[in-house]
Amino acid sequence: MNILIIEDEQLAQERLQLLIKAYDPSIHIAGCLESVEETVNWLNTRPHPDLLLMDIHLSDGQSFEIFKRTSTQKPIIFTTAYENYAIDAFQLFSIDYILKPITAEALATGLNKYKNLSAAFAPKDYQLLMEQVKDNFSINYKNRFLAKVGQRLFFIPAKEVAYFAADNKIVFLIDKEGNRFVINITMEKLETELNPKDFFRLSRKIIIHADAIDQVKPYQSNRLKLQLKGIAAPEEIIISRERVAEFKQWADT
Amino acid sequence: MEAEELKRMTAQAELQLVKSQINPHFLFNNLNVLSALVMKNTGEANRFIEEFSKVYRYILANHDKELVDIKTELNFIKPYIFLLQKRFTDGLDIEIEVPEAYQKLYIIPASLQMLIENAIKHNIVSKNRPLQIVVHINGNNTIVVSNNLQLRESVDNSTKIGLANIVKRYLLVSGRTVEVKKEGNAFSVALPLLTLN
Repeated sequence: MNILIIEDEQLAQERLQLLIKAYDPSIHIAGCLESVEETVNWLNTRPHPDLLLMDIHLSDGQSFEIFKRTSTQKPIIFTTAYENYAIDAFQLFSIDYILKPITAEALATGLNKYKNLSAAFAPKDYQLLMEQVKDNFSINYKNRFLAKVGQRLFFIPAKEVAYFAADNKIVFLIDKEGNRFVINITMEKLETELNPKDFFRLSRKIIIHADAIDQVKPYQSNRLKLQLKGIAAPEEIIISRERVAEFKQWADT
Repeated sequence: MEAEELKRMTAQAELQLVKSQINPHFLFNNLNVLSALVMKNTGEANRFIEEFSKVYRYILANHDKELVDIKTELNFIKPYIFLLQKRFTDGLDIEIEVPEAYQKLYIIPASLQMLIENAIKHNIVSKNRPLQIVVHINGNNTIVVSNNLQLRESVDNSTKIGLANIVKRYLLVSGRTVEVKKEGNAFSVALPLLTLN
């Protein structure tokens, strides 16, 4: 956050700086100005700060003059010994009006107000939000399987899987070298727990990993048949008719 | 009849003085400076409190008097200037040149203070364009407050009573005129030096 201080008394400037640093040391003070003239020049030649902290009685006139001669629409916290300018201040982009002597509490209240307001009005970063949602989901994708061969158990990472095949309620995991393992999980559960970017359910019987596909060939009744990389699959890998369109879309992403 | 009017003018000036010393502009701005000094430099803060007290003590002691000797008035003006100097630093330059011999003479209480306050109220006070105020004795028995004229665009809370009130009171008390001069970029007010009969 960038703050521009406009205050004609040097000690008052110094105090504001100390109070701001005590509130949040990461706040950057873009400058300290003492007059209408200086402030108009500053705002007309530099990028505007996030927030203006502004006394009303300046060395060469009243700070309200500044808004007639610049285009700034940044929020303002007024700091003054007078209470009678509150209505004038209200007509500008003021978010607070702090009476001197300025207390740390009053300044903190004003700065909190700025933070809350800017958060409330900030454009939502949907891209970022989507990434976060995706990240959360990918954490939950199943990335390894416990497979059984005889009495032995193996861990098989999801990226080693070529495909899953269901045969009479038994689900097999076939790895990229063609080894078959029995796993204790249903096809329906697999469908929900696998990363949909990598895996696709071709039919009632088969879920395939994208990297295992070598070729896609037309097959009878408008279906497609897959040939796999380096595996001579004992079962035919067929994409059922109603899933062809969806498969093409998935394969293309 | 004149005595009645003098009484009224004195009462009005008294009210004006008290008001100007306890108004937010003066009191809260000084407290703000004090709070900065407390954080920064406790020795200076202590000095500031002392000078601040002197200003108020003088107001309490002298606000109802018709006349006051210059020595007493200067004992009030100096701490008052100290407070201003702390606030405006290099933006304000005030010089007082009143020889000892003249300090037994009389003026209207707080009139010097009011003229200094007016000069600050109406003029630019900044490092780049310092306001220079001089208080000095003029040969023809007047004490003069003069400043370089560099008027502000807008004036806060100007009552326009101060100077007119002093002029009127001098007429009523002594029959003498206060001379207000504006020459080029110089502004000056000459107050007659009075003696007690």
